[in-house]
Amino acid sequence: MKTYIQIIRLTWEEMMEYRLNFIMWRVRFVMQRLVVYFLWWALFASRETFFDYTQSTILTYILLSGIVATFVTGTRVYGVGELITRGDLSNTLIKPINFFSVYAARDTADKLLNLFLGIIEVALLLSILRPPVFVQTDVMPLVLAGMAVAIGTVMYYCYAMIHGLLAFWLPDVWAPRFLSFVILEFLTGALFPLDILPEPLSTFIRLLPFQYFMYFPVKVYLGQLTVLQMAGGMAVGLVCVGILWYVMAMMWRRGLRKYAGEGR
Amino acid sequence: MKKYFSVYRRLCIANWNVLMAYRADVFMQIVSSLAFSVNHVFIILLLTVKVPSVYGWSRGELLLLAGVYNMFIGIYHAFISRNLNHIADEIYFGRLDYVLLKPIDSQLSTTIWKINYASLIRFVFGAGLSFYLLHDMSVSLTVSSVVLFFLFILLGMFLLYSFWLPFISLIIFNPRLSNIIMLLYQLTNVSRYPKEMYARLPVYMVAVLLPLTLIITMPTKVLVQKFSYSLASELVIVCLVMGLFARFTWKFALRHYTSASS
Repeated sequence: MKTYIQIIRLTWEEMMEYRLNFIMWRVRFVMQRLVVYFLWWALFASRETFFDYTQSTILTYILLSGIVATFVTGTRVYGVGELITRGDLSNTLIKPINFFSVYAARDTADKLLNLFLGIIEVALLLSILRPPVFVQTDVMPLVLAGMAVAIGTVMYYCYAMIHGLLAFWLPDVWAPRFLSFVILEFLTGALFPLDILPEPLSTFIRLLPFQYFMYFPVKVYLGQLTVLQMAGGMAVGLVCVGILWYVMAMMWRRGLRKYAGEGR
Repeated sequence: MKKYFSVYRRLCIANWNVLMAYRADVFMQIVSSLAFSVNHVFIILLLTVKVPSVYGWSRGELLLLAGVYNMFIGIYHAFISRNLNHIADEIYFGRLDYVLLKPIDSQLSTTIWKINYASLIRFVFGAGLSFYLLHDMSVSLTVSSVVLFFLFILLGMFLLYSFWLPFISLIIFNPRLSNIIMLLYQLTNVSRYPKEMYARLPVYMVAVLLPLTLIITMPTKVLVQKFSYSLASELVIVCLVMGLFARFTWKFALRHYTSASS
């Protein structure tokens, strides 16, 4: 355990080494949220409800999904692709530590720092813009939203790792990763709640695992899901985690057989 | 001038050859670029399905704005942004010397070296969408409006370039500032939506974002015949100021380039 705590500390030091660069990364996050926020704010200028959402619930959705996104999708795993293509994976393989645990520890460091800053940034936005926000006071939705975030986090770890492991077979994983960013922007509900989509499309997208990265946890927080929908969502989420974990482990085993440490 | 055309022709050919060398990559780039464009248009379609107008912009006009944005950004990413992105690498690895030693203007050579032909798919998509919408909205185009449209597109291109360059110049002082590129891509997204959308932002934020909101709004207003001379003069003045500022910061930053790690 000490080793992994040390990895977390080292990752923090690594992230804070170039502070201005790190600040730029956070400013980018704030800009991203602001554009979406103003888009929705403009839509509510002439009406009180929009697709069964009030102004306060939608603005809460936008700001909260920002915090959830920064936690769930904040990751160091995308570096795995380069680690493999440059042959640097060999350095990790010869160490007496578990590869997946190392990256889980690095991810933990990334997520905690991002969560901390994400909360500060959203608090700043709240104090500057003073939007009407919905505060959940029931304990149950809060606990369940926390569980949904945990499911989304593990799922995203597997998803990002699968992308990285593609490097065992592809010379460059930039293109599939870039494409996945585009897809994620649409399918996670970062720009709009998925249930405002036309019905067949909405149902289809909610069958995919991507909703667990943002949409599902925020909907649970807002208390807009029935107990059955929440329980069903959690169960499906856990199944998805199992499937993605299996795929990730299988790719790792097969990839290692193919790995030649090229570039070393 | 002839020398520059000759250099650019050779660069066009060299970039085309690079493109053809990695065809699978090109395919992925085209798919990604198209996905970005479709995503943007779909969001506008979705959000305006129950709202007839947003800040005086009708649904059709907002979609036209999206079409013009895609045309604009397609050209910008094809011919300009990739170069500015590339400068960051050149500075970081201390390879900017090779650019500076060439017998052409350093600012120009760093701006034209790379061409990302795959991004032109966004231009094609945006142009197709714009033509369809103009036809659907029964907007009749005159020669003067088309000329004015392309003039504002060029001005917008110059403005966005002038907005990016001072930020890129910062990398000379701090070569590890790689996230600035991602921030610039994000800031460019501000121009996707009408200027009026940001009206509620605090003044200190608007001051930074205002030039960007003019970039797409102006040419679109020309097409829908909502053009105003006051807004046009605003764009021209902003372009001049930003252009001079960009040139000054680039020259100033170059004087501090130490060629570290080369």
